[in-house]
Amino acid sequence: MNASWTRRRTTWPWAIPALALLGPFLLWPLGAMVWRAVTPDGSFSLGPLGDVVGDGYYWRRLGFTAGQAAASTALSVLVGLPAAYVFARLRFPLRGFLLALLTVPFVLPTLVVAIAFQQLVGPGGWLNDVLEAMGLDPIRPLGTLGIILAAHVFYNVSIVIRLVAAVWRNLDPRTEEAARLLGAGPLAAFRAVTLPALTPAILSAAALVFTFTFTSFGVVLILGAGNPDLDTLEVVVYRLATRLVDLPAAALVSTIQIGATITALTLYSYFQRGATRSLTLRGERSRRLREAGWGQRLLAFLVVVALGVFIVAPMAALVHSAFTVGASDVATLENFTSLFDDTGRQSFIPPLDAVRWSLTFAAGSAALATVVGLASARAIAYSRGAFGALGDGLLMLPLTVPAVVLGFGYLVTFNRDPYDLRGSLWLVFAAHALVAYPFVVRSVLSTLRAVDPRVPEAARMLGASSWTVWWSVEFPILRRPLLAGALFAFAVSLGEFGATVLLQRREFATLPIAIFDALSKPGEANLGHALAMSTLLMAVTAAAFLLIERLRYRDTTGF
Amino acid sequence: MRTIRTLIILVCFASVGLLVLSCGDDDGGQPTLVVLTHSSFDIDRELVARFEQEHHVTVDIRKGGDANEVVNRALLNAGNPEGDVLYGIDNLTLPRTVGKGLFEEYTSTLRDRIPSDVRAGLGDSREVTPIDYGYVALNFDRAKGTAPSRLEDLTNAAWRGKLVVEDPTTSSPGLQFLATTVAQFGETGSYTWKDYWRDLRANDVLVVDGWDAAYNTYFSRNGGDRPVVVSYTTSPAAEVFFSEGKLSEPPTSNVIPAGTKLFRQVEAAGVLRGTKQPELAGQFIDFLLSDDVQAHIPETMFVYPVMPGLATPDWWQWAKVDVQPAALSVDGPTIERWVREWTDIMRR
Repeated sequence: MNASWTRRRTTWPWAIPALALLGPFLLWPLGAMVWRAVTPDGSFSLGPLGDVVGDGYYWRRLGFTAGQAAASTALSVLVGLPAAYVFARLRFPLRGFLLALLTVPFVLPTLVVAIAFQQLVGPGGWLNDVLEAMGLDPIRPLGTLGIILAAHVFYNVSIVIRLVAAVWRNLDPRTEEAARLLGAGPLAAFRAVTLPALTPAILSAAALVFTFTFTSFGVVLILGAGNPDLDTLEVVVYRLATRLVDLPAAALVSTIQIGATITALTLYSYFQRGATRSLTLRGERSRRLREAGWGQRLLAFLVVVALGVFIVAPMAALVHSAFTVGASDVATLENFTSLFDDTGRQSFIPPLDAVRWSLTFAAGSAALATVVGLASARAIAYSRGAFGALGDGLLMLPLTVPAVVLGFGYLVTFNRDPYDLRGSLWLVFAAHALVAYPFVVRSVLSTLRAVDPRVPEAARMLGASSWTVWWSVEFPILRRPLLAGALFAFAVSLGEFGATVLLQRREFATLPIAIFDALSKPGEANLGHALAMSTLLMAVTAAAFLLIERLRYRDTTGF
Repeated sequence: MRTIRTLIILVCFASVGLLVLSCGDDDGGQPTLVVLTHSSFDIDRELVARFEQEHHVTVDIRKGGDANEVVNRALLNAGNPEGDVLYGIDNLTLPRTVGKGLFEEYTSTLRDRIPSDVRAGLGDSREVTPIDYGYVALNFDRAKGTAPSRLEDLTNAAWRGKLVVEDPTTSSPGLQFLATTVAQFGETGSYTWKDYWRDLRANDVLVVDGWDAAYNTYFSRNGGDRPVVVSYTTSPAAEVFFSEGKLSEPPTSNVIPAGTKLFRQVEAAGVLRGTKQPELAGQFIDFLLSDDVQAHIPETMFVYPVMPGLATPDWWQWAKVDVQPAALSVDGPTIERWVREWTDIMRR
């Protein structure tokens, strides 16, 4: 598929940054945990593995986990595609703002999302108030599969929108228009021309969403409301790991989860190669809303309203609670102002410090993730066959490893003197970059594969050095997906909780940690603090995204 | 232009990151005492500052998840500890550490002042020193009418769908409540604790993973629809304390009918084996037993100090309970068996 231009290159050096991150910070700790599991009495034994593999319970959980992940992925793509079209092809007021808003749920810690959904659909929530006012019976969605799927779409639809819109925006609409002129209906033209061009991006997004929902943890743990039929493998691992006697079993069940996810990702990668074709990418070709046809306007309206309600409602319910919990009157600012009252307690985390640390970790790990992710994407794109597909799967490894196993793994490996990193903030950077760089890979890869190899080849033949080819040919094409990937990496780090909680220290506590801290104490004041800080986290995230959106859009107005 | 702007953004990211890394630890060459503890630990910062001054040391308090996780991670590193002192081991987690060489023996000069029945809760082990204790009990939302009068009431139709509890596999209060039901209904006889849990499950009990979900989300006091929750006997008092003057009496009450045998959780601190400063570690444990710290325990951690006869704040009256601690001697395998059997009843 790829032309001779790529064949001359050696690809493996591009994998070095990823291996430098994966080796010490993932493979080693994970291997140490598994090794402990299969050496129960100091000598190797397959007994513990047999116990896990022979237990039908784990296989049933594996089946459920895969099923709900597939359903969540399909729903996210169905909801995300029309939205991606609207965001890619139409220009309307507040477009950047809306896109930023849609991404906010993605970074919210599950703890916060759980409260948000509770305020919306819980026993005393908004929805039930409305139903009650209409004389209908209250609903109890918590603990059902429906609420889990809804939360998964709420979390992940922005991945589909962003990754697909990034490619769609740069597709030349004239190709589809040409098909229309030749007599194809709108649907046929879409199926024959646009869909094939978008397929790699859709598959990319689907692979990410599948991985995320396959390893879903907080959503299931909290919104599943203890219903054992909804436990995913990752929840099972958590339950096993928090009791010592089962740590070995936790490590082994993790390997089942990792194996299943990597298999799915490798298969996906193998098929995606077949789907990738070279695209003619242009600058942005979006229309102003008033130039658009009625059909497009209606679609834009429906998408914005439907997504607006679906995405904004839980967040609005959360913000509303932040201003009303503990209020003797209609509303109160007290939950916010009291954040700054130093209690004199050792556990007091100044909220501004938490914001600063959250931003610091996010910026540092996003930068690291961007470098590692770009290099890995090149390694994958330039390698061929089953090896490339397997490499693709392996580079996604960080998304598949349960945080609790990784956290414990760090403790048993980074514990000797030259590399005793326990309690060091380096581990937080490494852990955040580790879970963040796959986003950069996914975001960049589909575009990198779509670059017509003849373009850089032509540049080389005309005497350009590889640096010049990269700088003036490839980078301008990759710029947008690279930024989208960096943005996601930033967001993932902002909301990361599972690994941070095992690595944290009070001096560099992040906002999710501070929220968790407030939630674990009784009383309305603490709940109010948690809600106020969650609102703060949402605001910081939205602001960061808006800033970058602005930078992106300002440069494209020249077209 | 565009590429340059993107580069600038990336460079900004990187430089912020580097800036942070460059301002690393700087504590002027003083030794550091690392205290490993769980997320509910809290202490007055001024008292810590006084300890630091007195002993020329920097105290670094590291919290790592809940009590279970803290003990698990300490066990993974037994003999090569992450810190010097571990606070937060209790009578449900201590049995797991037996024979693992986690602690060094330490006998505080203040140890004799701790009531012997409290020390007995931890088998009077010399490896750890009791600091505080607490009970888990049913809390009732007083706005919802009359409280249940016995644990058995909750298996009746009238209380169907009214109770929320924590999962003992993931939550410390959940495990303590499980121990309380074992103490109350026994392991043998015509109606055991397992029958009780089967009846609770049939009566639509809600099991959630942790205390905050149970208390902040599903408890009717905080907007949920379950008026009975498994929480601490000090939670009603904490409601008054955190209302910051708005409430003069608690909106919730403890359901502790006469004759209930509550499991008593005794929390302790120990000197981790392999520490390079065992003396300082011991001094920190003495500090935790000092009158100043002990008197602050109610309002910082909402548990009962082990030292008797200390003055307590006004709102603490709502935390005073008249209970008989269950005489329940537990070892590691027994706890594991309870949890396994509970999981079989409730989860599979």
